[in-house]
Amino acid sequence: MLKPFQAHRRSGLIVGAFTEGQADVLRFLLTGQLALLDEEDPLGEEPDSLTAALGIAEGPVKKPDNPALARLFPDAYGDADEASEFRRLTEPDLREGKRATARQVLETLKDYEPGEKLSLDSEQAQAWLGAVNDVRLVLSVWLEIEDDDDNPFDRIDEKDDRYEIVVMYHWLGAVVEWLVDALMG
Amino acid sequence: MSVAPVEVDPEATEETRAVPVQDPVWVTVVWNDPVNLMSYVTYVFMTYFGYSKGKAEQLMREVHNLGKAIVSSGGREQMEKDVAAMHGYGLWATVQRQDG
Repeated sequence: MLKPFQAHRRSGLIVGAFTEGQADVLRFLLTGQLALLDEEDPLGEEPDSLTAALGIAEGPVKKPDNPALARLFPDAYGDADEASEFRRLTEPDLREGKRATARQVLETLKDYEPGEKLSLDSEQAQAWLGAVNDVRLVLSVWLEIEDDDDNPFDRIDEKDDRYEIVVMYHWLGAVVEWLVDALMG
Repeated sequence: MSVAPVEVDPEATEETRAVPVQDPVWVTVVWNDPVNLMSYVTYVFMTYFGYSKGKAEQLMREVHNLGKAIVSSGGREQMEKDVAAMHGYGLWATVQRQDG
């Protein structure tokens, strides 16, 4: 049973614990997230050093075809040209930010022994929150969650291939809640 | 926020006042989505904008109940920064002129 993340007043740290299965699931999902964040990269496969350094794409950038990426990087303007220009200037940095938080969480889990306490400082906890929330968004696209009333448990049963994704989706929601409580408390 | 030079009508009478021409105001709109948790959205509004818990919850409820809410206003560049930040947090936000 996962011990929820709790804030420890004296140390200022946020402490939690995971089972082996939960830690494995997190590592699996975050590794997948890193692979996703490399798809349809607006900087292209081999950006020249200036482009890469500036984090600005050279040509016009369109909304990603992959719906999970489109959810992570939605249009910022109703007008297509303005949306494209906004992407050109911002999407590379946004992607890199999301890569960084995913990597940061993987790093904290690298030497983690199941059942032991995992202590996070405020910065790490915020990285966890962002990365876990991003993964949850991606799972929601897989589950085709489209409105507020949709509970995937209601329509996907244990025999369905996607059942495990539903379970992970709900568990990640709990992790988000615990982290928010710990950060705000 | 800058204000453009006052335009003066040479035909203007005493009663007509010169009207300052202002830069258009832009807004950041956050849109409802079926995935982000209400507690998380509240947390984002408090953390990024520095809003009180009360104001953050009020905006979150507006997003949830009305489908969207204006969460900040100002110059276009600042709104683009705010929208990029919202996307960084996994929310969906857009930049618009205040008058639509």
